[in-house]
Amino acid sequence: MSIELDGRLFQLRNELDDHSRVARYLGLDFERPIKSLGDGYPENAIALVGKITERILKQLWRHHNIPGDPGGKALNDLIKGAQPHIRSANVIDALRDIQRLRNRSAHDGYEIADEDGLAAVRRLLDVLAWFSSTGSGILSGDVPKLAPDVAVKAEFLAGLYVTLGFQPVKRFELSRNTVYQLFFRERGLRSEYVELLLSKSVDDVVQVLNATNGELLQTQLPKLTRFLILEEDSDTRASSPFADDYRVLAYDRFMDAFVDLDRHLSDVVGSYPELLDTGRLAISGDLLTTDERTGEQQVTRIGAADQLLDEVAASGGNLLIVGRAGSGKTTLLKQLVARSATASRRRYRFYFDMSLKRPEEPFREFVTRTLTPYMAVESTHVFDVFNYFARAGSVLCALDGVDEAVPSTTQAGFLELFTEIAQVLSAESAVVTSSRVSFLEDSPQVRRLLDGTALVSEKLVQQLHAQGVNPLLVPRFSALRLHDVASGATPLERRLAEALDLGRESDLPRLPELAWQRIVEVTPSKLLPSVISYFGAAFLRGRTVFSFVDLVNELGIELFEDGRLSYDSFRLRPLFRVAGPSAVAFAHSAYQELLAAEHLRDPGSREAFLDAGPRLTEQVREFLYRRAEGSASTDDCVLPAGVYLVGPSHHLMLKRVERPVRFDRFPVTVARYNRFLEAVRAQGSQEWDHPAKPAQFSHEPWQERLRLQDYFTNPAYENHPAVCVNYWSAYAFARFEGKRLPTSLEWEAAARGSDGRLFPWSDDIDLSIVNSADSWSGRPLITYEAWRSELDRGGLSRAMPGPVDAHPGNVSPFGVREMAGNVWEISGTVLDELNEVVICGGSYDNPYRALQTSSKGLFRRRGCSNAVGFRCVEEL
Amino acid sequence: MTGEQRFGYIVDRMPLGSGQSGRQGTYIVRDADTNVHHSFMYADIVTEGFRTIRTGERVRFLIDADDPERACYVIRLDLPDVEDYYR
Repeated sequence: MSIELDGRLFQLRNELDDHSRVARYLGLDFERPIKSLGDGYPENAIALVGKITERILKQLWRHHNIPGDPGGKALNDLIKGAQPHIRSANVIDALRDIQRLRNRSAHDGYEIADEDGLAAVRRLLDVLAWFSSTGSGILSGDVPKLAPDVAVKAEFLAGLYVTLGFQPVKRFELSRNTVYQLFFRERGLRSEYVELLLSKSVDDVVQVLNATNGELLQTQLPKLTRFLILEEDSDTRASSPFADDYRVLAYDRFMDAFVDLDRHLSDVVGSYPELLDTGRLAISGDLLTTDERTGEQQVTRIGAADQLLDEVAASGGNLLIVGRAGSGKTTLLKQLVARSATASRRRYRFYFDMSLKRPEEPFREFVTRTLTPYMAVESTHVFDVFNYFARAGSVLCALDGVDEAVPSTTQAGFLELFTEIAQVLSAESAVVTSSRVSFLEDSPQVRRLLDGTALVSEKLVQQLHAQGVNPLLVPRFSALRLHDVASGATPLERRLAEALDLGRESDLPRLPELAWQRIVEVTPSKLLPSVISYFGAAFLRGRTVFSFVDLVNELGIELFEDGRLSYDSFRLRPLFRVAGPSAVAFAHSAYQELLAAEHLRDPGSREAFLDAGPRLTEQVREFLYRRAEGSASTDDCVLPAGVYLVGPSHHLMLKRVERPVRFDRFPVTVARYNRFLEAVRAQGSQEWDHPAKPAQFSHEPWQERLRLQDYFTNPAYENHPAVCVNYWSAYAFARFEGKRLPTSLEWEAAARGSDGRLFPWSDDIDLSIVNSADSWSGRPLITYEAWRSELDRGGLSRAMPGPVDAHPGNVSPFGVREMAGNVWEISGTVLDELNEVVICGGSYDNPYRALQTSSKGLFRRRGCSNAVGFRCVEEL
Repeated sequence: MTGEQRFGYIVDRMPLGSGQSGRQGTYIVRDADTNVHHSFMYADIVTEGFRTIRTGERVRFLIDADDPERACYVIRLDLPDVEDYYR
């Protein structure tokens, strides 16, 4: 052993000795990892630290009464379970570091160095130090002399100063109601001391001081900050028994020393949408709650969302609000934060406009940038202090529009953001988050809550959970879906109508028209094209904040009256809000999304963003469709080459179709397929077969699978789609006709056209023009649950494919018929590693959601189904 | 269905045996924790879209409270990324 290692082990041993009470209480041997390191076995030291950590976590588990038996749980699961009950981000990081070191150590092929073993012990010490520094008795079994409520407050204050980088120097429990704590830190060459005297009342303090002849407060320490923190507010106005260097505060107002709450609230209330009146927004919704013990979920109707938010503020808990654009989420959150002035609990409330988070900006930096003007701590500590406040539940935290902060609308983008945000969720926190999409794990109740509309993919949710981000496992988590306004305008639409002087009209246009009218009204006509181009492209690049200098450089000085660069002189001011000293952002993201949609109507713009991975939201897609509504369509079934908007709403993309193709107007019918079969029976199929087709497959339909045994022989079905044929046969058929199968991209582009519509005919549901489970049922089913219920009661027993020309209205912008519903259609896109082929468009057996132009499934290449047919394309 | 979600793998599938007139697939899932096998029908696969499942796939499911030998609310966990559908 080197002298240097020996010295470091000596130091660690000394520090571990400080925690001998924990070792005794939990039956731990802190000496063994040190000895293993000294003997040259760092891997053993890490394993021992892992065991000690497991024991500590089991103690936390039992102390916090976390559901489930921690007995047989592995370190990873113990950390996941205990994490919501740990206030310190540093402790959570330390636990993860220990887990990583142990995993690496247990993995063959990794060489474990002395430094790794030392790091494991160091991180264990960080965990132990938190609990001892904050005066917590969870690990030591110490029972404080303090009254429980005083002990809780003392622990919170100590945790705050430890988070700020201080170390505890002295801690005296002077009486049941009074505790003295002294903290110290070094800042460069400067030493800083903070003295906290926490007591229930002035009388308690005077009594204690008299008993000690006042010696306690006599000090020679430099740079002393001294607080007397009293539980009762009235005492802070009483005459202080101390010298003037003591600042006297009520415990509930202690954070005034760190946060300029009034200024924060003033800025929140004054920014768009301004809370000009005090009238509460009346919005109803459905609330999902989870029983922490049983995991059972329940959905209940909530009459007034604002009252629910007040309950969260008063009692704690974490709430996700899901609602459409303009449904009032922002106003609800701002009103909640603004009500802090009259609140009896959690009067410290932070509001974050997540749309102002820059694309590459980590959440930590965004919080720091947002709160630094309001917090009296060094900027390096702003996030840590905020995070501590949030996790300890001492503040209410409103994160508005988290979906607008997703760096890219991909799984990786959602994962990145939600993993960051999850840091602030704890068992004690009061965090209200709003979003247009949910990130909840699929369940019958979650589907019922969201009506399937706002689910992101299960794969993403699983990834989130693998990262320890599972909001439904966070204690006291609930989700609220705001009801859509069945009739009448949304809050945003009402606001726009008012601005446009349309307030009294009974039949108001909807959001796209209103927002566009407002943009056109505000923007000088000669600037409109460049405004569309600049701000639209900026949105697609994820940019939402614009400095005055950038605006002048890009759009010209005429954007500002009299050439003065200020918000008041900004000609587009009605569309914007202040977003910094010399910067603005759109007042509502809908404006910029509308400009992005308008920008994308230009094929050249789509081409320019093809490889850029643009930020494409469902709102942009909807606006694109609405703005293009009524545009000319064609009827020759030719899909032109070009760049098309494709993909499901949570993963919209731009993709290029390289060459034009002509689609079959209808799916391949039984009659057409029978002609193919006759040819195959006469001369074999070798010249049309796929080179990889297994020899044993014939092109005859799978008779056993056919629901109607005479489907291919009864003339009544000649005009029905050919079904129960596999990919190999569809491929051969296409070649037989001198064509090929369309790729999944070509298929989707042909169905949704250049405006990205949801259904081939428009964005709107129309049960009369599609063969779907809903049309057989006679009512909209939309979701799995409704479909399943209908299936179980026999309502779909007669559902089957129908004639391919039965629905003239089921037509795409290029004249292609019957793409949605009736039968899924086999594409030429194959996932070789799975030996599966992409199928498109939904069938008679599916509810409406599966009939969207982006709807896709995977099917074995040899698979046959009554619900799967195909059509062909020819290259031009 | 019972409240606790289970994780498991599809270990067998039969092309027929469920659905109207028995012409839809039947599947067997093995609970990864208990190794108990549960059967389910095509309609138990949770999706609004096309229902099929491969042997070996990882799934999340619930156990039917009325018949513990049956799985229900089966969610596929190993579906490809969205981009893969557009190759």
